[in-house]
Amino acid sequence: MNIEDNIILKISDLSVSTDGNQILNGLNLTVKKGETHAIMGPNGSGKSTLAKTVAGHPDYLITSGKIRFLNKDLLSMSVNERSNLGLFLGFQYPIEIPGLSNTAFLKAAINAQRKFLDLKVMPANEFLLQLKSTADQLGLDQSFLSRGVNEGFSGGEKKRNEIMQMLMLNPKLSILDETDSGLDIDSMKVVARGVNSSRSEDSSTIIITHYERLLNYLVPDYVHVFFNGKIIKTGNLELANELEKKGYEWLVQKK
Amino acid sequence: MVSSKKIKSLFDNSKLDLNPSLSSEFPDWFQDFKQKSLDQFMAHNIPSVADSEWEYTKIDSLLALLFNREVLNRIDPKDLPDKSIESDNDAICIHFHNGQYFASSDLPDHIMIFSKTHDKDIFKHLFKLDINPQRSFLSAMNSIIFSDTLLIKTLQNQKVDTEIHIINHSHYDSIIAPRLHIHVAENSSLKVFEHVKSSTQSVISHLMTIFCEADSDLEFYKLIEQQEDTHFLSTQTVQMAENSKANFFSWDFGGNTSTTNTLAELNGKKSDFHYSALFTPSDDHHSGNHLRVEHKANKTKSRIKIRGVLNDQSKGVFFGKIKVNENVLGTSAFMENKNLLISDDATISTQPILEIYNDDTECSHSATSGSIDEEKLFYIQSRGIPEIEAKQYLIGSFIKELINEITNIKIKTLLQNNFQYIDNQS
Repeated sequence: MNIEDNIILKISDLSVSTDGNQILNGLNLTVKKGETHAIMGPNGSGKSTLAKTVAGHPDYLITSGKIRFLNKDLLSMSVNERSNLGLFLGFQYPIEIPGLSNTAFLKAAINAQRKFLDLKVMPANEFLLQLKSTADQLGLDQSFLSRGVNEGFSGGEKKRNEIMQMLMLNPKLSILDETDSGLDIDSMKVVARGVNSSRSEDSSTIIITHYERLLNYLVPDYVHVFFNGKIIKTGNLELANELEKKGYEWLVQKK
Repeated sequence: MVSSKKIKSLFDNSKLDLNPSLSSEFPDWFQDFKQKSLDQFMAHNIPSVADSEWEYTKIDSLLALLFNREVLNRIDPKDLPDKSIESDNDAICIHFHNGQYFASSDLPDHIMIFSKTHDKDIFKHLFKLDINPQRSFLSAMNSIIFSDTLLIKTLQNQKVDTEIHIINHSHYDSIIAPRLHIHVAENSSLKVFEHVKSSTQSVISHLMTIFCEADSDLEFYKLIEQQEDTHFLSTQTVQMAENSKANFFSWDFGGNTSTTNTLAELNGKKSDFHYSALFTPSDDHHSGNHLRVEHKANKTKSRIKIRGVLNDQSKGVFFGKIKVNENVLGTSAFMENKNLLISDDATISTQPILEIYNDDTECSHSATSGSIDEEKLFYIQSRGIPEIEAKQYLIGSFIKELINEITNIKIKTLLQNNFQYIDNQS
């Protein structure tokens, strides 16, 4: 197999600014099929900026570098095309959209993806069955499906809802931005189970987190530490455990 | 600007009669009323954009269309609509074409049409001059043009479950003046749905009066679909007696000019007035929404919700005034106007005013205007939905809150179907 075929995401020398502030400074990161990467690092180190930049948020300006996704130029694609191709961003703060039901939203999302892939619209009953069983899996009551997207949901419910969307869209690469923040232990387990169930040889996950707890459930292949907009150290779960004990200071000083 | 002198020269008596085939059989009192309306119209200062009421209104092009024409209201039989459109077994359907009665289901006794009835004197008390300065221009215009009149009048204690569906068609180049009078008698109830469908270059001067007697209950829905060069000018008054309830919903898709001027007088104790309206102009259209609510008795209640979605270079105006009289106790009034500007070139002017002369009043008002929320838009797009569609969903969600309050399922569905991105699941 061509080595490029095995790479899902390749970020080269990426620099990004927002609101006139340079946040990412020459970042390099390669994610291969089936891998799970964790990104840790102090506040303001550029973790969420990376997530939003990859997803295509208009407020983030790429000043240099390239991003290739499934061997295609990601930066030339619209936000929706990135999603259609298999990118998923689990939002740190999921947005509330009153008046648009979760069900209608997901149905539109799935059918947009299928249209992009030249597939027929998913039959309504098939969609509903799949949606209900996914909601069950995440312990979300059926009533959430007819409510407005994230409307009046608790913090934990919003995060579960993100995972539900992820499972339904079945992405090639999921970037989960602090999906564990604000979750109680039970919710975290549910979310971790959801993420684990989506892992496969073909798909990859990037988890942005401040805590090792979620990582203990997910066991990432790599743990990267972000500082000043680039990766300053890469290790495995042991690095996350060490960071939990010692914080980031020792790493930053060594640098 | 068209001067009133010019109007005088155009509107001599020979041109007064826009519908000669109709009025030959009309009684003297009607001819007299029309003459008085013309006198009133002539005495009136022609509105200009300097008047706050007419700000943004393309009054010049409207007046030019109205007065500078030779042939009026030709009806070519091939232009007539198909009677089968919008017939509905569960409703009484009444079709007007170019303002004149055209077809209907079998009409029950409580529905009367001026051009059809032999006993025209039943209508006499409904034709009187409106002396209110805010509306007299519009109502006089309606009287001069005069097309036909529909009267719906219930009997005491009559609960009419069958909805009355009025369809106003108009075709190219017509000038029409529909007139609708609704009288909901004591302890009776009524549901009316009016659908205005107009072709390009028509002028519609619409007049409606509603009287709700004690303990009555009225639901009224209006859908205004207009073509590009249509001018729609509407004036409506609602008078409410003790314990009466009236619930209005209107959706105006907009035309070249579309203005609605509404006066609601809550004359009876515990009368309850709800008014929700949606206006969605596009292109360089103008939409004006003027509303006055007067609380004139104790424990009356009003709920006003107006929403605008403005596209392209359209301009919108909301002027809403709630007045609570000095000697009136226990009033509850609420007025809200929210606007969504989906283009950088669209503008809205909003003016909610409270005029309260009694402390025993619970009253609130608010007005907001904003553009599409970029974070919401990004969130929807990030799930694979294209930008255009994502925007439509956000517009749908903005509109949905208002549509959700409609209790009549049939009307709700009809309105939802008019807008594919309104999610009908929740």
